[in-house]
Amino acid sequence: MHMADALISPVVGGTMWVASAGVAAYSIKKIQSDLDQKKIPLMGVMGAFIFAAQMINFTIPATGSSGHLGGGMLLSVLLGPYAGFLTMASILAIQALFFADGGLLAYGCNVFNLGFFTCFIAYPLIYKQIMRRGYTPARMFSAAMLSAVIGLQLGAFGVVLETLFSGKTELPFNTFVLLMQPIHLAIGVVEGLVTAAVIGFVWKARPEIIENASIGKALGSISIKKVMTGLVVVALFTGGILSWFASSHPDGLEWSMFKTAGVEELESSDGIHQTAGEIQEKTAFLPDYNFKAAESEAEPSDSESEEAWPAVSAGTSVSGVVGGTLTLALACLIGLGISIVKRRGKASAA
Amino acid sequence: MSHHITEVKELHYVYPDGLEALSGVSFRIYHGESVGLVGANGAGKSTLLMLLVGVLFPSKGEVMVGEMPVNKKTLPLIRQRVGMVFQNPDDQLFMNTVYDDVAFGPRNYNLGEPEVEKRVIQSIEKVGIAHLKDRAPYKLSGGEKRSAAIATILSMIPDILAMDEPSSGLDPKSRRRLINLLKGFSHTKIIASHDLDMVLELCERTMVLKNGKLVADGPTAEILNDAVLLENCGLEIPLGLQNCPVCGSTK
Amino acid sequence: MAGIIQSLYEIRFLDELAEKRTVIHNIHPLAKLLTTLIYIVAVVSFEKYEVSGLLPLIFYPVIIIGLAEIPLLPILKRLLLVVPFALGIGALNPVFDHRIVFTAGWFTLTGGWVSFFSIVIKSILTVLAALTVIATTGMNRISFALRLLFVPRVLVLQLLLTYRYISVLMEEVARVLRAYHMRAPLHKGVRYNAWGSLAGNLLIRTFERAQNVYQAMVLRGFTGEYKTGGAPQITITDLLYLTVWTLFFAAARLFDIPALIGSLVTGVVK
Repeated sequence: MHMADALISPVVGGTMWVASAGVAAYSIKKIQSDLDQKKIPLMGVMGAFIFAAQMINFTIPATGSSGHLGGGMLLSVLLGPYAGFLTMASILAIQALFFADGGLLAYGCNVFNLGFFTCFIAYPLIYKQIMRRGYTPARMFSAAMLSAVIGLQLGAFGVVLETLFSGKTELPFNTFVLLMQPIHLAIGVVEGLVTAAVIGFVWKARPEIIENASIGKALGSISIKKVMTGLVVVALFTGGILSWFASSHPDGLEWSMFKTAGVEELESSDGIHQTAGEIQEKTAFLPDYNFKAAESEAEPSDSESEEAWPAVSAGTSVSGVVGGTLTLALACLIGLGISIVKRRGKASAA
Repeated sequence: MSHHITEVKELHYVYPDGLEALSGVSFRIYHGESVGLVGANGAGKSTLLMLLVGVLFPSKGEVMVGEMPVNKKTLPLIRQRVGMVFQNPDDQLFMNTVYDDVAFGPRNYNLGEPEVEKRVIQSIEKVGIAHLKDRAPYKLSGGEKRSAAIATILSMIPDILAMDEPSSGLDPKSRRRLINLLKGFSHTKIIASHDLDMVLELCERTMVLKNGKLVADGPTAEILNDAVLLENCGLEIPLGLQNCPVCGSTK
Repeated sequence: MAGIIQSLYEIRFLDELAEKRTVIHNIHPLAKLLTTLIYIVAVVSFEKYEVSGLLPLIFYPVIIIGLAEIPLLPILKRLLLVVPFALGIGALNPVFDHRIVFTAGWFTLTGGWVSFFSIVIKSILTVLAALTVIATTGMNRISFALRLLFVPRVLVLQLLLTYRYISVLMEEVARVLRAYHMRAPLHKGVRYNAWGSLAGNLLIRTFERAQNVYQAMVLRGFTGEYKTGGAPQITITDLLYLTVWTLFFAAARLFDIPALIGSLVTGVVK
């Protein structure tokens, strides 16, 4: 579910960075006004705990396969939504840096998908609502299960939208949704089961740990009104960005709308016709190809217009292949050269 | 130097779950004294140390450090004066390099970077780990971690060192190094430990806790030789005072 | 369980690489972080069907890996582990996009394949960029750059604490799992009846540890604010590093360098 850089566009990555940074800034303000400095080391150590616990293999009953903990729900239950969100952000940062698990540009998307939906939607609107009337094992189980599943479904849908708006994949909206949502339903069920098992155990052994997190403290309580206001702001913001995006890059949005319609339209024969025609055009234009490439590249803002077919560039032409090979060879040579020089330097120094 | 007396009067501490960890403990520790605090598991040693540094506050009674009572108002001063070394150095070394960890305390007291650096260097040199300055804690051995933890305390320039099981988990050589290091300190020392041989070497005075009560307080040589008392408190005579197990000759 | 130890070693490996002292390591962390971000944006901003134009950007990781003396094999291994995830979705492009872009006798190339290759290259470049920045900078100096970027100190401290205790807790989890599997040698994973108690006990211990850490911090004067030492100054070299790379990325982005080289060469050959 961690999104990689290669599949997103700078606009989507940037937008989600801004959105996540906004939520983080709000959360920091919240935890700082709370002045419970005990929470700072707790967040740090809990982040490390989730990081390590994600590597435990839980055998799923009756299936023989195994699943893992994501931890978003557990974090918000134990730390409250604000601290939970920030802790998730730290975990994702370390994963992106040390394991390249989730890209750096896609970091905003990942924080939003895995942190925002669980901590600010699933937790306050589902978990808290079900648990309002006090703890019973059955209630806690359904709360953890429902919130984990819905949190992950929203996150997966976020992945779908962010990927489609980025326009790097040819996957049609329907197929993508049909691919992502059921997989994440299964993942969500495991997440819910593990979360419920852990909360259930801790509740029996050390009830104060969970009570401290969820009751009384400003950290635990979150008003629905505020969440809704926040959502509306985010929606307006995203809408604004997207409409700006749409107006300056009609093709990009059209592209994703087009995808929504389904597979068959893509397979339509006129696409091939068109392409064939363009190929002809292309071969004819081969001599002054370079000018054209430079021209169309000269406007980076135009990069989203995926359907601007002529830009299918040198990859198709002989000169492109030759140039590409030379570039790679040169890169290898430079790399080798540096390491040889370095080794010599070491040897002579030694 | 009367202002360095640490005094505890009729100290009681009850945990939130009702467990009475300390009941009616009183003692005085004078400047430069080195005191061993011994007792079985759960006797109240760690609780007593926590009360001395104001991590916990007594349910009844009073703790005085110098002429200051330990309470919320005096905490910043108390904590500068009393340094506590935790049982698990991993809990105490929470930064990612030794330097940053040792500098954490002085920086919190807004000392300014040149002074901070001076203190850090002094502290890590004193415990002999200057070469590990930029190491990450996970790369340190058990002994090195212990030294680093002590350095984090020394950089605060405390008068009193409170230590919880400083020799636990150390190999014999590291333990020996630690004992020699502590011998060289002129601070007032309060050492809670099961390592009675170390207490014998380091402390001229020993206090014995049993079920939250102070059952003995006197010269170490006397107390650690009292087989009946030690047996009663879940302890035994340190090896250093026992007969030689091979030839049976008395020490 | 082997996975945990493996991951731990990977973190420590990158950590150790970051302690080297090379030209690249000595560049200011902020300059490196910004360069990396600009690089990734440049790579990702190439359109869907771009292949050749992306190639010159490989110079950046190649030069950094060479100058920073980063061993190639472990980095490539990580690359192989990560890239398939991004490719999973990209691999479907050839299925959906059949438009023919190029034919030469029996060989036809569809738009789907071109966009797929583009994703492959972008994956490799962005992953390399992320790994090299951490391998030449390390967590401490990254957090330093974050502070200069006005990331709140609380968040930076929290990130550092998480990073610090990952080592400790991964070892602890590995110990617990070892104990579990010693007594349940036939289980592949942890069985349902132990889910709560195994993870729950770890969690309770984590809470206790957090409490101890908090006390250790408070005893050394922590009052909720993270105070840090002085910062290394940004030098002309650092600015040059940032500027030169940015100019190169811009050039690679604006001109299709391989095509230029190619037409030059093929022109000469003709």
